[in-house]
Amino acid sequence: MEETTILVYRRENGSLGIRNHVLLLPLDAVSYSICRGVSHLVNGTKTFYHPYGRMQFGKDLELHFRTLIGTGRNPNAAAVIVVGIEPEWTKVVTDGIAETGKPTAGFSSVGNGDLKTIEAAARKAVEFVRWATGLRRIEAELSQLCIGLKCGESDTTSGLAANPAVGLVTEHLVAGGAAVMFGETPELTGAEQVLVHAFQGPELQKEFLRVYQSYFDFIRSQGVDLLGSQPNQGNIAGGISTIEEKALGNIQKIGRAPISGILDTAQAPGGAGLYFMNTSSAAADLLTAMAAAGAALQLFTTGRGNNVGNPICPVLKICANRETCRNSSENLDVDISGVIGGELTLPQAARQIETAMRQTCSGRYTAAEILFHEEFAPSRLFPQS
Amino acid sequence: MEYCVLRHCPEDTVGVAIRPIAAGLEASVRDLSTQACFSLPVREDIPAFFKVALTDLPAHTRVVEYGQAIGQTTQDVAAGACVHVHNLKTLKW
Repeated sequence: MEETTILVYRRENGSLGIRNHVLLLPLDAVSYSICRGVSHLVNGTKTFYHPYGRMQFGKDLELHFRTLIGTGRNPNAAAVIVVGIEPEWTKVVTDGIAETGKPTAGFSSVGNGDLKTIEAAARKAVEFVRWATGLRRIEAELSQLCIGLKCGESDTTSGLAANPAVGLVTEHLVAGGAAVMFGETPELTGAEQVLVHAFQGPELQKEFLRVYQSYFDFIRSQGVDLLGSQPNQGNIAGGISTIEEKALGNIQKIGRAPISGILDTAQAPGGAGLYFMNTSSAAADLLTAMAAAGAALQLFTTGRGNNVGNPICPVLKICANRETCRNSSENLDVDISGVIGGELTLPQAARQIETAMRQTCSGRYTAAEILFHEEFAPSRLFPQS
Repeated sequence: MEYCVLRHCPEDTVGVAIRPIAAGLEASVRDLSTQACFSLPVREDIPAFFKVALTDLPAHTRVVEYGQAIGQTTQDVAAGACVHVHNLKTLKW
């Protein structure tokens, strides 16, 4: 009989995770060397590189902190070690994560050099791994999770099958009480007047149109359009001709679920429901932002194959293009190409996706995890001082 | 009858080829919302997953897919012709 429950980690603040990372979180580009050093010494730790974290200020710094703190707070991280250069910013990020109640420690390298910092952080990592690997999974339901939605390297099969199938999954999840997020403000262009009706209430509808319009005005203020960028060359090779067509295919991912809130980039949803996050549509950036907002799992549909992943949040790849399923099978998790030929119905495809979600939640690696796709791309608002 | 073009809904003026279709073939079109089927003479080669005009679309006509405008034609497009970036442009800019 098919399993209907999943096995997850319950964190100190009640959030549910599906992985159990001891995370070595570099505050800035330079501190990655120390994190890497610790990760080579201590089995069971996870780290990643990113190029930012110095001389940022104002709203851009707020976003960087929110992204790093959110990443540490993500329920897939059991415990976190923050490494920075100066103690002040290190403490800001460490304290933001420690609020969840999870074991957290911060180390700053100034005055210590790399090697002494590596030793101190590694001793703490040993302690955290010993503790984290002793944790046990408990039974839960898919609809108790926080989940992100994204599509990438879309083609016309995305709008015909993969996104509508995910739309049915979204409807189930939202009806069951999950927190679900989607974003990609630029890729709503041409579908904004359709999508607006999914927002609950006139205030939220007005706010969405304001957020969308301010993005559209920004493009115009640059004296450019998005031709050549949206749709991109891969989309065009896959049969998508205009941004409107891409956007109308994109929004199939939310099905007919009502939207109950709008989030800033990397902002955590306040509760259950479907949320729109104002973000870029670049895959690594959005996956990073939704993981920082607390996504335990993300669903990613692709037409021609985008192999992106995330260091702490499994990304489940769903594809309805038979050729891509054949030529890139190692990068894909759920083949629903039968929908196009009529051998598989959309509800059957949705059930296949939900089965794969349960397996992933309970521990099975996604294609992106197996192939080390651990892209971490924090969004930026403007250049450093 | 095995279909080779999918249409999202009856309002659409284009459909999506689900496999390559050679010019001169009679394509069977299936509507995803009503399951209705009809046939369409295809007048040029359509690559897999590219769009085909389901009706004549004179220059500057709004093209409809998903029941919504996805752009407008930049030249006359006959029913059965391929619709893509060479004859369809966004309405946004």
